[in-house]
Amino acid sequence: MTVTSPLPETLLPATTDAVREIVADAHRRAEPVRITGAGTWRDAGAPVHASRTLSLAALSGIIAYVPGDLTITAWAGTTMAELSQATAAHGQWLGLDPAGDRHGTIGATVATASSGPLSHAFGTPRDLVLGLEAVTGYGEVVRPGGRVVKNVAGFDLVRLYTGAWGTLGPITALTLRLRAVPVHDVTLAIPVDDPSLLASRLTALRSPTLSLLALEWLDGATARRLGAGDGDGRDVVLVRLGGNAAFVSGQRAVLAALADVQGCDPAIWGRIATLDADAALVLRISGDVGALPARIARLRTLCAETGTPLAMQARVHRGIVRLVSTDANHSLCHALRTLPNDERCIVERQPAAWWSGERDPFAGPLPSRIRAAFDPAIICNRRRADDA
Amino acid sequence: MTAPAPASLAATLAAIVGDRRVLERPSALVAYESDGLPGYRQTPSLAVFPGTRAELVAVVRLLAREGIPFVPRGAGTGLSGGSLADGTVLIGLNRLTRIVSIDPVNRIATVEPGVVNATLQKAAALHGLHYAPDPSSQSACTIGGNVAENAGGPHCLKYGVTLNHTVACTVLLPNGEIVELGAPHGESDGYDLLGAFIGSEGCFGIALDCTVRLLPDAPRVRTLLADFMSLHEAALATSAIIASGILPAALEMMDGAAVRLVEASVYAAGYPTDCEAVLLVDLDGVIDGLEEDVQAVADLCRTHGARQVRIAGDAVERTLLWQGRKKAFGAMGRAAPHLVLQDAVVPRTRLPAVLQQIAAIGARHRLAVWNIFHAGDGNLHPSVSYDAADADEAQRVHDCMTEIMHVCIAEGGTITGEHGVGLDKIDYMPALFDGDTLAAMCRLRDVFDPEHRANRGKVVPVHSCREWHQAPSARPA
Repeated sequence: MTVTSPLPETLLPATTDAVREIVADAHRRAEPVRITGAGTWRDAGAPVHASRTLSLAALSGIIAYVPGDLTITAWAGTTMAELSQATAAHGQWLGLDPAGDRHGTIGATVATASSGPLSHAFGTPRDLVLGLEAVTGYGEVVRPGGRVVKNVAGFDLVRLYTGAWGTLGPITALTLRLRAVPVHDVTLAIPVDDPSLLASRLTALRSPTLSLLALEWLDGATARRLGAGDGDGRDVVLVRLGGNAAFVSGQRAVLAALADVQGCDPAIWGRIATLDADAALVLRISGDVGALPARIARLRTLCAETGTPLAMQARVHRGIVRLVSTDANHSLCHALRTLPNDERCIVERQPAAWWSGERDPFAGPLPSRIRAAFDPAIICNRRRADDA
Repeated sequence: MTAPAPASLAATLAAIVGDRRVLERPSALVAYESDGLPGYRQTPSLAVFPGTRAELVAVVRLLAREGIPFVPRGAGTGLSGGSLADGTVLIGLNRLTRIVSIDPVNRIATVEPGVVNATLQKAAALHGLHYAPDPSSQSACTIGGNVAENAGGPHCLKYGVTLNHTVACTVLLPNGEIVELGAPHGESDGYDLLGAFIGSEGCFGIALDCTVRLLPDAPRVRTLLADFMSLHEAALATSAIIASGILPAALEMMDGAAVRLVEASVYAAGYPTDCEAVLLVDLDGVIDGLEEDVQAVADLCRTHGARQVRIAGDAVERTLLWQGRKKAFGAMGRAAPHLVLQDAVVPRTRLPAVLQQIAAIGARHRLAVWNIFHAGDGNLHPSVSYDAADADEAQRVHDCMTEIMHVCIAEGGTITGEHGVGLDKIDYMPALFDGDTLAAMCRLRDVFDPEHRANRGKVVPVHSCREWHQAPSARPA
């Protein structure tokens, strides 16, 4: 078994078989394990109770890459940076830009179903994962899906493991759909003079005459801090265009007819991804796309009332507002989460003590039965709610 | 609990849905003996057709109370034998045809399961929107059936399959419970149970309603027809287009024999009959930069041996070119009493080699194998017209298709890209997945249907599920 232990409690298996042995052993002993990737996002999600950590970081590298198929198979511990490097050499990319630095792993990205602004064009991990290898809580190795771009053979364990946060066992390898890197990739900033005009502006930007890679809104203070727009405190809508030269110039013209359009450093996307680096509180509130401007206005008023500095970004096409704060203000958090009926809140990060009493997305009749079918002893990423 | 005698079951069901909506005479049940795939015939014990959501729920709850197995069926256009009911109750969903809502701002529609794909398209078109999955049977197949099979279609190359376009379903579990999977608005967290439900082939329950994403119509669509003097060259051109990074909305291939069949039929589209393959390519999107992509694809076709590349001048010509492709299977159906249409996927770079192997396998079995397929996805549909009454020919067709499927698996592919496993592909499942993976699939089905009453005997071979009631840790090492 290839396991090294730089920390007493951390196991670093380098093969699927080693992962399987660790989980099977934990299952036999009913001893919970915490499953991590590179450990760059360890404080996200509900706290996990475990005496040992199973890190997938050593299980890394490209297994198979045929550029002509636009698919790649990699071990779960491969970092997003490593994937980018391998695919960029062939003019391709994954089209997945989750929050966090690029040293996070593809396994953790898929396990947490994380995505970023590029989801506007390319979707989320559920749209990009073609197949995977995973270990169940029993210590079995399963290999659902495949390496082809279209596949409906069998019940969909791929979707089940995507976004399961490791609660069904660790993902060990993945096959992903790639895209060609656009010849031209241009980022533009559109300042919003008056927040009351945001609704009409966003409606125009969702027009069928525009085909965007990303469409992201930033509040004025955050835009200034990250270097988007004039830095004059106005809110900014960021637009990313990718395609051939005629496409980009034509789309620029369409945008210029709609609004005051400014050039923007494409490095802005990396800065947005790491916006939460020092955050104590990160929430995502989502709902009806048409009501996004009203949602932004309501959340902004709440923040102003408490005086808590809060960065706000919005993923327009999915109606998501993401709120990031270095100050974990409990009353603000409570106020933010008093939602209209048709909105949902997902907590990415909050102080550990606040998680007790939190809604557990893996609880409820069907999810509990899923968990019992794959990890009946609840040894993989056991949470406080599981203890109850 | 002892199941009631069929007569009393029929009477109880009739009390829910009305006398005319329960069929039990063999002559009436003949219509439900098969789906779109020849070679399989199974007769249900009776067929029931609820007309409202409340009736459907009442029917399923009655069957749950009585412990009676059932098979859900949409329009019966499936191509894997997935909706056949062998001595069990068939629940027809084709009367649940209400479009509940269309929300053009959020670009979603909520529909009952029996809404026909083309009907939804027409309703969405009033808002300048469309539903992307477009199976060849879209004039008849239902959204509920599309969700059950995770259906695709030619334009799924760019836009994705049913999974990518379904955001929520209200699902009636086989035990009669109703659960909401996914969310019409905003993000979901927790297990992707919607993702697990889509493509579960009627084994996990019945969708009472489906909320699907609608896309704005592309401002411009350009259609190209390139003809080649060899199938191999067309396959190489396909690989080159995919590798170039240009993503066509559709990239379809037909071999010369299929072209000649279409051109001899009422569906003639003006394809050159002396070629050995054509590629039909749709490029769509905003106007900006589209012509450059059209020219780049045309150049790639020429570079790889295209004799000529015809670019449709207007919508009429475009429709005509697509008619040849969309009606090709109809034209094939005229060639012999029966048509078997297979479904498999291979990595796109393997297309040239696999097509050569398919031709060799067909020749060895003295069969003409036609290829009309979604080349851009590597989704093959090798097809043979034959007479099922000719035992020798039927056996050769079976052997030929079996060999082709094993070639696709050996080349790193899969046994179905859009038709589902059903009955037809179930024997290939152990060649594709190992025992632990199949057993895990069985356990997933167990979560939704612990009594195994919904579409039993489909998708995963029963012998793979022997572990259902035996924890893996209890199995011998």
